[in-house]
Amino acid sequence: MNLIDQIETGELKKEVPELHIGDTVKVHMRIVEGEKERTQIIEGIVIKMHGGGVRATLTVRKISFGVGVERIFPLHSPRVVKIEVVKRAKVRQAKLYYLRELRGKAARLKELRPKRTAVKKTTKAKSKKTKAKKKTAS
Amino acid sequence: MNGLLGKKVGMTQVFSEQGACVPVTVIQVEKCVPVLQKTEEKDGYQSVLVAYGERKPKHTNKPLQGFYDKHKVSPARILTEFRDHTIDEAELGKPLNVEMFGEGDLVSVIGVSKGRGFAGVLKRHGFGGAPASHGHAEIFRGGGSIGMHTYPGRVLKGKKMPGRMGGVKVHVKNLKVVRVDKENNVLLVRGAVPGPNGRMVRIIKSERA
Repeated sequence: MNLIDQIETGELKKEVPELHIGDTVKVHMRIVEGEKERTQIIEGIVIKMHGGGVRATLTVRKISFGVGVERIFPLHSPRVVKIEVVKRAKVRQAKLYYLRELRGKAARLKELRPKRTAVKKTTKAKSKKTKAKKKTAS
Repeated sequence: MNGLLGKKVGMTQVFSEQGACVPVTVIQVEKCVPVLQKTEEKDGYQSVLVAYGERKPKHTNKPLQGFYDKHKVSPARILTEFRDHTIDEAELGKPLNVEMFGEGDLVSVIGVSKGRGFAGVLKRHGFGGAPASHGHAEIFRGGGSIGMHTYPGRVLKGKKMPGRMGGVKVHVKNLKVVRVDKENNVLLVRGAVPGPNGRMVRIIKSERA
């Protein structure tokens, strides 16, 4: 491993939740005001994920008092204490910039129900079998 | 002695304790051995001769080998002096390491900048260039007029014009040491330092510190 990778892996957080575009998240942020320290929670939709490794960021959009607010959080910043995923949504774009033009009901995303994993496994096994059959045939 | 030679490894970012994202340059100090103290009486000036890196025996000629043998140091890639530095005689021959710097110290980094070749005035001197439209033709990146008329009848000295850019010694002062890694002999310095990755740089303690 080269030196820069070594330094960067040292900067990474041990646990980062699996995040997707369209997730509604609660970002717990440590805020230091003079002597006092408090945690602020920002809830909104992840409209953008950017970069990898230590440089990874996520952009969270929320409507605050009728005004759209977007905040960019470095994923591995020590100021970001915790990220909770509130709900997932069905999304067809990698970047949800189109939400900026939408208001109210139109700006909702369709919620995603957790997939049934059992079905997935069987399909995988089948495909392997078919491959094996093909090999033997040839 | 409060200077070192090192290799610019590259840039990255680290987070400070407050959570701020700090851009840093990684400087690795390989083998850096003080060889000799030059003195006012003997040499007419004061300096410390430092050997950096390693040199294969087949690339070391006999006079050079003789010099290294005399001072009991293995042949090095680079031999260079740190002017006006002093070092104890006991320290000669022992590798220098990054422990001479602490976190938060201010250092100066000296290196040779990236060569840009023959560059125009926009890149070389930051000229504004000409507008892209409104009747401008074929002079978009030009420098404009270079002088007056019959009087003075010549171009003034020091006029900024196109030419060779980069590849010169650049001295960046007062960079903060963000981290000191004694294990790998590595320094993390805030901000950029001259030159491409892999090039030698000289790190000295800042005068202001």
